[in-house]
Amino acid sequence: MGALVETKKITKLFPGTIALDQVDFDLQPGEIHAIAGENGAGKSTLMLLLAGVHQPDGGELLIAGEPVRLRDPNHSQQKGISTVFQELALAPNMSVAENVFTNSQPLNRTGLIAFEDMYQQTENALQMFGIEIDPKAQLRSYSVAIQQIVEIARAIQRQAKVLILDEPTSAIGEQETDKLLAVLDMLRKRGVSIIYVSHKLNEVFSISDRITVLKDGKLVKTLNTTETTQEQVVNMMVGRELSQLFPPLKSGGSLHPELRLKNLSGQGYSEVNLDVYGGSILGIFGLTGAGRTELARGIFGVEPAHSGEIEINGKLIKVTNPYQAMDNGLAYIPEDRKQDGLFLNMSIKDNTSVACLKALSGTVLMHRSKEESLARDSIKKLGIKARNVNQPVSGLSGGNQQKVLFAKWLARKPKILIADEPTRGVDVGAKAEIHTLLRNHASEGAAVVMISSELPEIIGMSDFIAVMREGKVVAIFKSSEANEERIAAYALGTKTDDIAEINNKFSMLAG
Amino acid sequence: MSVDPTAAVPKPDMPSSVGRGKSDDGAQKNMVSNALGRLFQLREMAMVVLIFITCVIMSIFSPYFLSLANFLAIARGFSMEGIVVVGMVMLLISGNFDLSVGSVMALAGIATAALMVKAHMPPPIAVMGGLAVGAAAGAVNGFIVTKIGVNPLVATLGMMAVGRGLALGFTSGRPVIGVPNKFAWIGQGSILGLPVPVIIMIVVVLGADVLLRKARALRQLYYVGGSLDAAKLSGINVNRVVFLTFVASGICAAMAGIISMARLTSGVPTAFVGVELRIIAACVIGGASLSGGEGSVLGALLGLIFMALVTNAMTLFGVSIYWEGVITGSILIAAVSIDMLSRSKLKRY
Repeated sequence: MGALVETKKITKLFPGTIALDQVDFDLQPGEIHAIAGENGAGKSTLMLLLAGVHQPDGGELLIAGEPVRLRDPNHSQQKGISTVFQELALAPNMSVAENVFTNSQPLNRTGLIAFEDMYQQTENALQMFGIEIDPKAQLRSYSVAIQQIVEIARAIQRQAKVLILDEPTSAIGEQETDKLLAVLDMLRKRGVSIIYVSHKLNEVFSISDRITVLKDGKLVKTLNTTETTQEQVVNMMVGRELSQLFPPLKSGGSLHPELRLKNLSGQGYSEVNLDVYGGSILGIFGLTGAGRTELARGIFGVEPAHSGEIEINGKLIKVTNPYQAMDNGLAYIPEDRKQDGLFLNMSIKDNTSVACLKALSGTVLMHRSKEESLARDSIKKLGIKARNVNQPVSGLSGGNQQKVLFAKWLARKPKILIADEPTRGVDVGAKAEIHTLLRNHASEGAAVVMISSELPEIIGMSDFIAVMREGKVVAIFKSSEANEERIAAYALGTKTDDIAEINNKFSMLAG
Repeated sequence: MSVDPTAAVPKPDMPSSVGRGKSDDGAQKNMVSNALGRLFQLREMAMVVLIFITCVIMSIFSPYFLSLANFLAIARGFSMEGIVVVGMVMLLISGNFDLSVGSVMALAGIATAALMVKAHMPPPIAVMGGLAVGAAAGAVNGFIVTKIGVNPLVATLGMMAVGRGLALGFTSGRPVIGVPNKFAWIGQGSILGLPVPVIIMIVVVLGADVLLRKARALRQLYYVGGSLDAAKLSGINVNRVVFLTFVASGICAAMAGIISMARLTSGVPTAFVGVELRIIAACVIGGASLSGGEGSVLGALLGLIFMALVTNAMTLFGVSIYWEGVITGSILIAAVSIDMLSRSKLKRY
């Protein structure tokens, strides 16, 4: 049987770089073909060529055996290829149903939109994902995870023969991930071919039939999933052995909590009691919607907490906005680096200096030389790959963007660092470097809070682990007592403790 | 690309130590800053070239163009708008804009004239009063936009009508006349052959340009316009920054209105209708973007100079001034279109 999609020596040039260098790739009917590689390896470029966003500079693209030159994304869709990008292309102000049926709404006899019909079809389409969604509700009232599923439902609704997914699980929790993988498996059985791009190798291994590894724009190898191992793939991706995934835990640390939350309640979380010790990392785990990000934003004063107390180094503080939080030594690295963290059109220098403009200026004027050396030092120390300090951040890879974001906050030398999904959408190499950054920052005496939906990361990085569910802290472990099953059981609600017991246990741990 | 834990350690005292270690990489720094300088001034350079070409063409076709008197007349003509442009470009950089500048100009002029003529206040006090009117109008705009969250288009559109209504209502539509002759010097006089309004404009423009490039407080505008959410989470008091920028814009408009009133020696309630289009157009032609985060004072002023030259050309070539809107509007659309086209070529997914 011939390949549905095939590339022969396909090449794509960008100013200054060869994004794809003579790559051969093929997608067989009814298979899930994963693409693995570090950021900058060419995964996205390959996808964008297949999606018709970019046109190749060399080589051939064949669809169902025929050479094709895709003019634009619409052309690609007409050829049966549907792409779900990492940045969702949805209209949050419109109903769920109209997002599933964008530009292809069912019509009634008079040529107007048949709303009842559309709602019914949407409900049917979403049912196979096993989630309850009101097709009439505005899309923005649902979480990112559900929006992701809506976008996939749209692709399926278009009767796509080929479905391309770019990091589909980067924004959703484990429970939804399992649901998504089940849907993909079902689609495969129906004969849909899927190209699956993800950094999460356990997903790749649980779902894919074949894996294509790219590195620096070149094809390393295409492998049958059953005939390889995660270690082998990682080594191909990075071209080196990763001896250990996480930096070693440091025991010890201070006995007094640097950050103490007492009965903190706000939008999305309630009665949270947590202590974070200087020199240690507290990992917060929870499924999407468990209130982790809301809690972090509450502590940092973005949406101030409604009630409860925040103590820093034994002193009660009031936080009603981020600059007050910063004055008290807090730093917050947000989950969505493109929206909330970085100034994408501005330079690396502008981004590294924004959080400490005062330290980089005199009474009135900025010291340009100080700004530049801060940026240059950051590039050197954090190993940011960039041409110079004036390069716009938008042109950097995900991992390097995240390092710029870290540089921005580390420049303040925060006593308390809250990092929300610090390694989301970041390649394996940069991930290890960011873990080292977090560990080192804690070793210097700071209290670090790391929010993550990846269990191995939580277990590998944390000294203490707090599990959140439905806005509440439902369990606290020392990392030595934790394992994936126990944490997941609390996060899913299959296991529960009495809240009083938790607090009691926590003070024991701390003492 | 090995993971060396020690290499990645952030220096604890990064902000305080950053001034040091300049000498070892001075050469590289120079190269980098030169390259940046060139890139930064790309738009400004393009404007200078465009203005130069326009001047050459006009001096070929009109014998009256290339004279000091004509140049001074042009400069005096755009000097008031040049001050308004400063406030507007700051707002545009922060991702906002102000449609009420024309009304505020008229209102501030009338207020100042009335304080002198009707209340017999000394001119400096009257001028302060006029500027306060502008600051108040800006403060109301800023309050409505930041605290209540009304879109700047709606908020300043409302203020445009309210300001004009106040100016017409208090005067019953008649100009306030009888401004002291001494005061007229601000609008009519000159020092060493340079008209006073032009001197005031140069001071304001140069001051604002330097501050916008280098001052910490004004640099925040670029962050706010670049990404509101990221700026907020970086500890920038977004609301205060935007509020104060609206106030600054109001003061700039008032200043221009007062100078213009001095020039006419009367406060005219119907003056400056539609001036906001020219002002915003000048900023956009000079590199500002309505989506925020971009623009410079110098660029905006060059945009204004270009438009003033085109108006001057119409006068010299005997084209009726009634056609001006066609030209201004077309230039605005052309400038933005060229910008969009050149950007989409650079765009990468």
